[in-house]
Amino acid sequence: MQGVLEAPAQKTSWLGSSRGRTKRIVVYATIVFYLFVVMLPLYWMFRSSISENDQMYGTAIEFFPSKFTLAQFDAAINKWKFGLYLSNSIAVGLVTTVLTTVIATLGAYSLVRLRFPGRAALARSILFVYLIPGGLLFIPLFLIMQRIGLLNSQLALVVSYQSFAIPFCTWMLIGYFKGIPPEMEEAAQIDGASRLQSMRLVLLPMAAPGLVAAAVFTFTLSWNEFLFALVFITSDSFRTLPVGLAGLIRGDIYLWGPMMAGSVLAAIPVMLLYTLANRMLVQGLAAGAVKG
Amino acid sequence: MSVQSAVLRHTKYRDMTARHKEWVLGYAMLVPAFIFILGLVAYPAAWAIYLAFTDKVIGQTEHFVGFKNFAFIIGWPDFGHMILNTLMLAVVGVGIKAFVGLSMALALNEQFFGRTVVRALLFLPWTVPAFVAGLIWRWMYDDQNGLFNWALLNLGVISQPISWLGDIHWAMPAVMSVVIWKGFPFFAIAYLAGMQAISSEQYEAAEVDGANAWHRFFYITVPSLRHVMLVTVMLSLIWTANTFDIVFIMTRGGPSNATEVFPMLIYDQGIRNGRIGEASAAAMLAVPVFAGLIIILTRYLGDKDEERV
Repeated sequence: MQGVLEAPAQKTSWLGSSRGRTKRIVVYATIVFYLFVVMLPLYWMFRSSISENDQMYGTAIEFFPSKFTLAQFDAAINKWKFGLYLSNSIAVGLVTTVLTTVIATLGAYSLVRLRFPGRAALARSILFVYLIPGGLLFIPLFLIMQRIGLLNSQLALVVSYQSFAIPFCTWMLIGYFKGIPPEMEEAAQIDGASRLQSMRLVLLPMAAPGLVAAAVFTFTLSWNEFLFALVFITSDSFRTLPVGLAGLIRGDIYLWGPMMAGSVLAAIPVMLLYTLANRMLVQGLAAGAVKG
Repeated sequence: MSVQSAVLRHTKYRDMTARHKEWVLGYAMLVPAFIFILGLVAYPAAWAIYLAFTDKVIGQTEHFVGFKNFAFIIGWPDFGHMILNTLMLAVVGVGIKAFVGLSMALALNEQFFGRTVVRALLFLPWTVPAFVAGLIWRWMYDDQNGLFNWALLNLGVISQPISWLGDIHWAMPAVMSVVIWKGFPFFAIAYLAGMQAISSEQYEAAEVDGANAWHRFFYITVPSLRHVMLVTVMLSLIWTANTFDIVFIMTRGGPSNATEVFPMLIYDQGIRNGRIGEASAAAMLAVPVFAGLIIILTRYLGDKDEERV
């Protein structure tokens, strides 16, 4: 499948088939404007992460820095616990992703390949649940976590993230499994394979790209999550990156250098994964891989 | 006895028709997913309804208080502010995102130099984690050392730094700018994908028939994108009305409640003040709006799913 981003331009669009000058000026002007708007904040993040403190504050601000330094990265990692937040984020993300992907694969297989009463209603309820905003649920979830003693532990995040990760991942895999013709699995079953064998040995290898994409998106959902991470974790040693970095905003001291260095490090893996997975964008998009 | 019954059960299982076996397997494979969904969504939702009718405070046992919380919430000025702020952010924010996304998709669907690279670059904000977007813009809006004040002062547009996030008039537009920057590529990708499904022949035929560009846009492009527009706008309304991370990082709802939006108010009241009862009642009042949007969306996305190959 060709990604949306690589697809060729249309020969004829609503603007017409002519290669008029006005048309080209309008198109280029629009693109240059949007490139500026999109790139400026990203540039500023990057630029702040490699600048000396004395070129970042007050009247000494330089748009193009004359000196480079890795001091901000050093401060983020060695002074401001970036490494701790990072390892917490990775641990929560990995465990969440593995758990979610296994559960969602089973569910999606059932909803796509098996016929049983209530199948369509259950499939819809998965989508319905995914769309329920976390803002409605975090208060009772907080009390539940408190009651079962998970508050202030990474397990609280892994468990609570299942509330959106499972519906999301299942919904995405439903779309992907539907695109794979069932004939090969049926052939395997005629040759004596059980349903689960045909799923494991025939469907899953064919669905590998979709599984990888679903896992990647699930990981980034966990990586980016802020509200539950803020509410369910109270001690600094369990914080994940989003809340940990945001905690560096302090009224009187300027920590923007380390914060931007941390932001660069937190954003790069996700940006890379998304760009690499962009062929899956449309499926991810349909399922709301990233909230826009 | 137990061996016998086990054998009996086994035979019974074997004797079931293949159809029934499929039923059992189908439900069994969904059990893990629905254990989590029931435990983490259905149960908390039911509990939240109960809590809304109690005086629950964190760390104390609750008592039933009837509609007292609802009466308090409805008469509470902060709640009115929150509704207005949330509507403002969601409606204006989503409107601008949709418009910007559409114009970008239209441009990106044309032939130009470096198209693939430009498309990838313009979609970057979509890939940036929201908390990172919040941090970058919080820094750019900083009143003393931020990029915007520095640039505007140097260009002579302003003579005094503006306290963007500390001013009740500027704070909401500032927050909204981040929400838009982060969110418009979602619309652009969706519209671009929709446009790629429209055949060039349609436009050529219309051109031959003498339709001008606006006719072609309103009679071919817009109708073809109707479904995707509806879905993206409704999805984004739900998400934007629930913006928490960006608001928390930039303003924490301030100054003087100028950016206090729905999840922020629930957080302040429920977690910071510990007033679980009132917070739950406020959340309950928002349920009909979200439920309406979600039900319509489920129908649309579900229908689309049936067509999905």
